[in-house]
Amino acid sequence: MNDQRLTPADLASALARRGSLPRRYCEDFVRSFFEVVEDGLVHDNLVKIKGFGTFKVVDIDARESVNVSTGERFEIASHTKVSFTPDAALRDAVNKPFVAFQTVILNEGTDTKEMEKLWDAVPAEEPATEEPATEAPAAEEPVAEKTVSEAPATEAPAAEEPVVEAPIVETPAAEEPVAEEPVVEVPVVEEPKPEAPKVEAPATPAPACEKPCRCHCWLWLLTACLFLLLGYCIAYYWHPVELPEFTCDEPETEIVEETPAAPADTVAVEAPQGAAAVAAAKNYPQQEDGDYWIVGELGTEKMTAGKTLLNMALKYYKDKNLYTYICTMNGITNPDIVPLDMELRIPELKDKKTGLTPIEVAEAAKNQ
Amino acid sequence: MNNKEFISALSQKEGLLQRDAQKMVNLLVAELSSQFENGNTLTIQNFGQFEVKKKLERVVVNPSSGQRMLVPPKLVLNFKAYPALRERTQKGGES
Repeated sequence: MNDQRLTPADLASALARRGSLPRRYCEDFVRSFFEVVEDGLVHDNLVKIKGFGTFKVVDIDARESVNVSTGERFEIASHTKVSFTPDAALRDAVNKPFVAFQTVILNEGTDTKEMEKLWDAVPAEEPATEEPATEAPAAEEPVAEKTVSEAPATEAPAAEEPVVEAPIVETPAAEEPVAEEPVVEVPVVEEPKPEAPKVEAPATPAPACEKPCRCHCWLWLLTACLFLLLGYCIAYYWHPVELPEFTCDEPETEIVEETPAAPADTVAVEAPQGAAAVAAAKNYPQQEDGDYWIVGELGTEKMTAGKTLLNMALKYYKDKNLYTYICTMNGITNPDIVPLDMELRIPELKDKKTGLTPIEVAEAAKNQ
Repeated sequence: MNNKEFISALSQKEGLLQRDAQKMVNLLVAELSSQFENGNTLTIQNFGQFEVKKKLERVVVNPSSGQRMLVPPKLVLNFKAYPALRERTQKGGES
């Protein structure tokens, strides 16, 4: 929908949609809307439409101008112009994206060179384009509020770059005592700074270079801080996880000695069972990094539509995370792909340390 | 021609009640407003072109105090009359 070119027909169909009106009628209405505006302009020189704006026919007096290429003076005949001033509401609506910006008073030392560069890049936005081209560079216009002088010869040498795209405007103090506009566009005058030429040939890149450098410094510092923080977090989270794993990997014989340190009351009874579990575990495929030994078979389950490994783990162990043991038991490498009608052997699990089944472990945890 | 006169002229031309004409105008204005908000350009043959233009930020100087100010960029609705309209208004002004 953005940046489209609309015709009255497009407008009419949009209007028809908005007001749910017949399209033919809307087209007719749009046409007569602008016809009436035109009539009003012809007869009254002014048309005011609430919420939209004011059309006005403005007289422009004859004035003298200079042909740029030949330097000849000639007179621009008096003529009229149709001006349109949007209503405050419409103006604000159009300017909505930029409404947050406000005029800022610049301090003395503010560097405007960055901005000039921007202007160089987009020279098309300059004013004085609605009139014939000859008018723009007029030397002295007593009628206009501003005296426009291109002056490429006088100002440009200061910088080696052709910066002076923006028309340089001065308050004509001598020729024109009455300045109608209190605010005049600034002459973007180049002040050749002493340190600039040392760095590089063109004057402007020097200050431009400094800023990005500082920017980069900040960026690097920020990234470094971020990495440090990230590293710290990772270290913090991994450390406690790794510790128990180390104890797990110790030889099995030590389990007996180790366990008394933890739950003192149950260990004495459970430890021999743990040893028995280890012996039984040798007959089955085992999961190296898990907490449980596979010591036997609880039964088999047929894989049918609607069943998942997670559901089975939940059913047999009350813990869906233990589905990995079902995978190990049946040699399933990818748990996402289990053939239909496959007979799955459900392993019987015993905790490596205490010899408890997963359900007992969960209950013990609940009781504590 | 103020808003009231405009509405009455329009209602006569379209054969509407003034109230209805005002309603229709409001609807049209709302539609136009939303179109321009989206940055669309409206071209009316033999009349002119409405276009949203972006004005760049610039530095202005108050000549009496010498204070420099940075004026922010803004979007402005621009109307450009086509030569046909300009000619007709010219004639109307003369007669």
